[in-house]
Amino acid sequence: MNNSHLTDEILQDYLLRETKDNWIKKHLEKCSSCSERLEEYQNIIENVEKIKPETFPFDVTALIMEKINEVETPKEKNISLVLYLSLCVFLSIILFLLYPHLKTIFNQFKSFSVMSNVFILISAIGIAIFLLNDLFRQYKQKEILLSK
Amino acid sequence: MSNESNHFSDKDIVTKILNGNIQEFAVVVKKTERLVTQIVRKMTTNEDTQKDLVQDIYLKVYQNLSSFQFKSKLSTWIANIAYNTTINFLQKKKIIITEIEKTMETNFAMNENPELETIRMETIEILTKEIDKLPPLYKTLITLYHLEELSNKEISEITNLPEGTIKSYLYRARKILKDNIHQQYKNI
Repeated sequence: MNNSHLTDEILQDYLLRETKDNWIKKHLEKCSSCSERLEEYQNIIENVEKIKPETFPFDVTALIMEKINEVETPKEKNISLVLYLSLCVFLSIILFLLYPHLKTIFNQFKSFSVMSNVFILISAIGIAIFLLNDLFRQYKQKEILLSK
Repeated sequence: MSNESNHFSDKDIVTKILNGNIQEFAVVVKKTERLVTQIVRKMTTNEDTQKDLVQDIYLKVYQNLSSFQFKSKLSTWIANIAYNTTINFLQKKKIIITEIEKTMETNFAMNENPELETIRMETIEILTKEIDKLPPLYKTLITLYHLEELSNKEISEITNLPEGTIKSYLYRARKILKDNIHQQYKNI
């Protein structure tokens, strides 16, 4: 008699609708022992689904973002350092190349009146501010586009 | 369809992060932390260990994001990293993930007065307690299948175990739960 009972696998599959064989239904109608076991499995499956998912006592997102920022900051610092160094080297090369001609350039300015020199200086500063402002505006626009 | 749109949004988020928008990674963490929590919490008990593991998991995700090929859902890929990281940790600590005998032996010894305890506890509480006594892998599989409602295929992608093995572990886990709960009620 015992051998004819349904196995635990069959009972579970029947409950999870992975098998729909009619003979199982028929057997369950006749066999109280298997019906009892099926009910036990049904209780387990129904109640497992009601268990509240576990959470951590700490804020996962805050913890991870702090870690990611920690990892990223030195990387960003290194990139900035390399950029500044390259800029310094570039400017040094320009200065080095210009050095023999600096006297000639200053002599040119000496030949102008004070008013003309002031005008040239103000114009040069104005153009530099305009270009830098444009550069900064473009940078901000790109940043907004990337963060969208 | 929903799977496809999910892949699209996964792609959007991943692209943004890879383009340097680090803060977008918070969205990934928020979307997947429930699944990662289930895996880590079911397999480990110490809070400090869990904190380290979660950091380790998401750092791996962040550093390997460029290698994600969108062949599965992003959450499945992250869950796979979570599972492998946790399993590696347990293996280093020489903790056996599927051993049942020891769990079964200590099962009732823990309750000094089963009658009082069973009356006090609701069915769900008893079940939660019984699930906690299962070996780490069984606990995880039960949670992923019944609580997270993942298919055997998805669990297989996360755990790298064949679907047949997952099915067989789930049969055994449910049987252990049934027998233990049956035994508890019989003892009253």
